[in-house]
Amino acid sequence: MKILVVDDEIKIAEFIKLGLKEEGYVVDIAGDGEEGYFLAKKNIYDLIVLDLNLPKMDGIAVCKTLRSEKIFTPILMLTVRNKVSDKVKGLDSGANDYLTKPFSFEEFLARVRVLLRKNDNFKNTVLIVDNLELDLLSHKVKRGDVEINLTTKEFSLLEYLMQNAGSVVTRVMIIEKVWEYDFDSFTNALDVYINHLRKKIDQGFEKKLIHTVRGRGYTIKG
Amino acid sequence: MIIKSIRIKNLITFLFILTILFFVIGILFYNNIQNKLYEDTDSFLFATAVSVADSINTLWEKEGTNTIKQTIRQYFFKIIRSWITQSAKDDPKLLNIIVQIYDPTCKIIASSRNIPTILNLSETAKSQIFNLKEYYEDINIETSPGRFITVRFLAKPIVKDKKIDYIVRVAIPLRTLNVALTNLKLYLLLMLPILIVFIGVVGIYLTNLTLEPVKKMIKTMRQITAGNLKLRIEIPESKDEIRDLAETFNNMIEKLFSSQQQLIEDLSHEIKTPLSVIKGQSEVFIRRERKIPEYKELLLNNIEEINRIIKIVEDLLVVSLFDSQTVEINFKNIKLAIFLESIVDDINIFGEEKNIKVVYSHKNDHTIQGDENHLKSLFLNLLENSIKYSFPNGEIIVNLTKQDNFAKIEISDTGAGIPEEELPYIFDRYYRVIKSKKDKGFGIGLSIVKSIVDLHQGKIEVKSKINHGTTFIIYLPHSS
Repeated sequence: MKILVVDDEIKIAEFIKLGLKEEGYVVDIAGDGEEGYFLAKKNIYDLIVLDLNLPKMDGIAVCKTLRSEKIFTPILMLTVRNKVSDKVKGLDSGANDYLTKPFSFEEFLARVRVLLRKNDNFKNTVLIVDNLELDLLSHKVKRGDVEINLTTKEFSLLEYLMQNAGSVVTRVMIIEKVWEYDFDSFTNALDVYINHLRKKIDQGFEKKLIHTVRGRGYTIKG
Repeated sequence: MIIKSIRIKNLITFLFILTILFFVIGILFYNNIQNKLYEDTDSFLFATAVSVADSINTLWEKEGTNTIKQTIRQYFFKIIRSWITQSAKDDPKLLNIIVQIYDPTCKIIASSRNIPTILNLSETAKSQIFNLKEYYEDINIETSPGRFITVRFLAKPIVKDKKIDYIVRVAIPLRTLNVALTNLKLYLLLMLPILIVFIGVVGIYLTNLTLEPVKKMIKTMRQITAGNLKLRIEIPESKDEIRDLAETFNNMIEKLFSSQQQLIEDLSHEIKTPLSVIKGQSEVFIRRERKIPEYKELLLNNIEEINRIIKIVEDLLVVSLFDSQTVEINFKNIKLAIFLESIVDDINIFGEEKNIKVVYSHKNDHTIQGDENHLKSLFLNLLENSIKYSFPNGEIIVNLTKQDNFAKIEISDTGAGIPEEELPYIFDRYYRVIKSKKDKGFGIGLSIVKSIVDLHQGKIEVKSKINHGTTFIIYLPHSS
């Protein structure tokens, strides 16, 4: 799951990123409205966390512009303003939810989960391929009855593969979805992670689930 | 209390003017009536005298032989019968017209009344008569012991060939005239208090009527306190000054209310941002076990944010001290060149993070009268701002020169700059009301800067170009 955080307060953006990352999300940060808009347009995100007061282009404008360009990524708006009229303005501009700073991080995570669940791609909170189960909410992965411990990165990778179970995902697609914007795609990190994942999921099982499609990418299927 | 005094002031002024006016008009009116009445009396007396003389002359001519004295003595009562009623002859109450005839030497020939006090002519009368002039005079006659009536006399010489033939003296009591004048006087004097009371009552009523909305307004105003700025004065329906006043007051309260509101909002925003960082960071960190250096970093971060909050609160306190003019001031001679150098040294540590250098240059020293602490906070505020808004790797130039009797300090940065339309407002307390959706403002720092410059009787100017930087120029007067 890839999330874009747009906030000009670097420290706020950073702790949000850290917290989300530790929950297994992939996070990009934008420091102003223009950069946020640029990233949101260029990449596909599952959620945008958008601060209302931003330099260059404010949150309302970013929101409106994205919606007018048919980008319907769920948006969670953050702001220090807690007047009803501000909330209404934010929601009317196309945001899906609204949270005032300072907020409780647990609540923030819960709202993030709700928005991700609402997203049409995820009617289900549990992804299943053969006897492999991935719970999007509890972040638990099981193969049969055996619980598998994954790092956050591995979890994201597996999640993306399982969302597209049966079809091939290319290296570029994976990198775009699972890694941050500034990830250097020329390293072999992806191969390393796939290997880790294979070890944890397929090792010791008769049936292998993760397959390499030579020259194209990877797929997971039962 | 104001109402009372306005009411009384109004009333007293009003009554004072009215009384004087009434007196003047009364006196004029009284005099006019008196003159008219006297004129009337006098013309009656004159006509009577002429008429008596005519009758005497006619008789005298007809008799032909008699001397005038004889003729008069013979016919006197016949002639005057038509003016005096016989029955009233001896009754002083019915005193009507008195007719007397004198010879040219002013000796009495005949008199319709034998009251001794009126038989002789006064010296003034005589001298007038010898000049062939009529003479009017008022004489008090004692009718019964202790009771007098005023009688008006006309002595008229009857002249033939510039020689007095005889003198006719007629008189009429002024009883009616005096009664009329006394009555008039009485009416006028009686009317004055009635008028004063009447006008007073009407005046109070009218003043009350006018001041009623003001009273209401004061009642509402008393209820309006810093904590109750939502109350508004009821606008009266009239379209007068009272309505104007009410509207002006409401507008003023509205402005106060919204700027108070805005100040609180701005401050809460300003404080909420560091609080969000502290809360969020701590919550994220507490979700799992971390290594010691990570905790250290968190604490350092939190301290930084707490310092931000402390700065905001302290600034606010300073502003309120300046506002209430209870700020502590300790003026002494300050050598600016050295003073600025130490500040620049201090501030350079702040700049290191963004790799910003503060460069200081000065030509000869300046001694000014100033408060060290306030001046320090002035320059620190400006320099911190400059660093905050500078692009990384920039340079801030502090330059001390002289202009007329002022030390001129320029602080130039190469930062983001301030939009031209905002420049006039940046030193305002409520700057952010006018400005921008940005959460990061200059805070109240610049308002403090302005207060300190004012305290030193200096001047501050600002020039700015977007994306090129901002220059603050401070002028501080040399100590004399």
